[in-house]
Amino acid sequence: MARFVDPLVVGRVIGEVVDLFVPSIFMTVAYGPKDISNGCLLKPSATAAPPLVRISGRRNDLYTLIMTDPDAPSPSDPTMREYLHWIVTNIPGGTDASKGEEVVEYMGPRPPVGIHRYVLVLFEQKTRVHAEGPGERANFNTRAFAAAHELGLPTAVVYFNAQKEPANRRR
Amino acid sequence: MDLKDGERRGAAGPGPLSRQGSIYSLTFDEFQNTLGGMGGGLGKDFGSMNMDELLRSIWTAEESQAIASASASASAAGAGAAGDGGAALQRQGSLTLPRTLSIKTVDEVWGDFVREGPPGTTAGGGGEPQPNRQPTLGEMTLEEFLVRAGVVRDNPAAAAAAAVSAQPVGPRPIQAVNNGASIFFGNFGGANDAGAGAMGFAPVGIGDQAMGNGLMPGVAGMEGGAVTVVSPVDTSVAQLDSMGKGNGDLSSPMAPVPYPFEGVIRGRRSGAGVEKVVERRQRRMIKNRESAARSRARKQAYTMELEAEVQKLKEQNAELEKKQEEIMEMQKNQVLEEISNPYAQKKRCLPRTLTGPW
Repeated sequence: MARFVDPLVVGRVIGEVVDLFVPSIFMTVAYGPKDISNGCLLKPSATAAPPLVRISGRRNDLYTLIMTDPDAPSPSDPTMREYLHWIVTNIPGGTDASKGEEVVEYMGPRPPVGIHRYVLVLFEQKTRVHAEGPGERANFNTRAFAAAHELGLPTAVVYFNAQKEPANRRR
Repeated sequence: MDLKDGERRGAAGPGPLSRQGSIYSLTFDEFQNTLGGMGGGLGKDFGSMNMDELLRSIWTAEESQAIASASASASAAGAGAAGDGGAALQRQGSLTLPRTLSIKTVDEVWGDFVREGPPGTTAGGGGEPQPNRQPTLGEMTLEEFLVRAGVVRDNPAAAAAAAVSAQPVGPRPIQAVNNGASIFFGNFGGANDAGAGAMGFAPVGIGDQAMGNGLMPGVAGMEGGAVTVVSPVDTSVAQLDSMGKGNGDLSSPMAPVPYPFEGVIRGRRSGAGVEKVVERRQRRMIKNRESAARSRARKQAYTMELEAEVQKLKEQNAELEKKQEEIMEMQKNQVLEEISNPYAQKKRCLPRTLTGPW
């Protein structure tokens, strides 16, 4: 049930966004019909709508999902790290993210420069939370948010890459 | 370029180059401060030093600088070793003084400059703009001073004429210097604007090294002192190599070129503008490297993920196959049982019919 964390270490998601953790919940992220694998490359146009995020776990437990971009605005100079894309809280275990409360509205990846990582982190809540999103999306800190809401270490992480599509493709 | 001309140019045209990273670009005043700051100061004014003492203090400063920069460089071990070797070489024969000069004090030499300065400049010419105001000794850079004093061996014939003492490093024909210079500048477009004085000063070491490769392998072209090399052949190879790649490698943190080499040579052949270009190129290269590393990591991460996925699916598949086999086995057994015992089912049916009320 647990995903392998090594790709997260090599992809520097563990380290730059979250600390080392042991996955305990199985989370699948699907844009359209297909589940994504860690490190896959998606087109921004294919990720404009929120994905279907299904999680395992018990009904009574509640989970928080955060999606951030640690490579904003450019991977070589991530001055806005992390850029917040989505926060959903109070997701019951065994369901999907649409059953939770969307605290920060989903915003699709729009990487201006370079290939960005988009990281979906799932935390287990101790209790029902009434979290408020930060004022702005730039310079969000997943660790700080987790600490502020007593979320502890993540229980699952999925990430994918996205790159700006060439302009001529949109025509 | 004949010998005399070479000497004149070297003597008359103060190099207009601003160099960073070399103590030769410091003025006397700055150098004095540096020495004091390093604790290696001789406690003596430069004016009263004789030329021998001056050179020795320059070497000391240069050495400590070379070592500091070498240890700071990425390839610490290699560069450190090269730096040490270079320092030893420098001391042996990089700057040699004619005996008549070595006992003169700096003030005396300076006095000579002031006397012969203006006519020398106009004679040596080369279109070198003449500064309106005669600079004081304190404002003069070490490079300029050494060139004008004839300390730097860009004019070996002149030095030999002035002094009876033999040059420890064999004198080289100016022709070779010319070759080296033209090869060098030919490869480095835009650096030709270096003044005549700089021409006389800068490319000598390079010409030497290029020549050392083919003609005089025993001579390490140690000029200006800060070029740190282990062997002459190595240097010329590295030199040619880096020229071929348009200098890109000089700034590479992985290239085994010690820092002083980089700073001095590049500074000499270039002005501040080129320095900027090189810096920009260096920054771009570092970025490029980081990006390449990220790209590799990305690929590796994805590969690992897929491999893990494959592994998981294989295990799952094996499990399912095993289950299927078990089920098949069970079904087969059931069928066999039914065949071998055809009454079993009937028996089960019979009681119902038997117990029927009819």
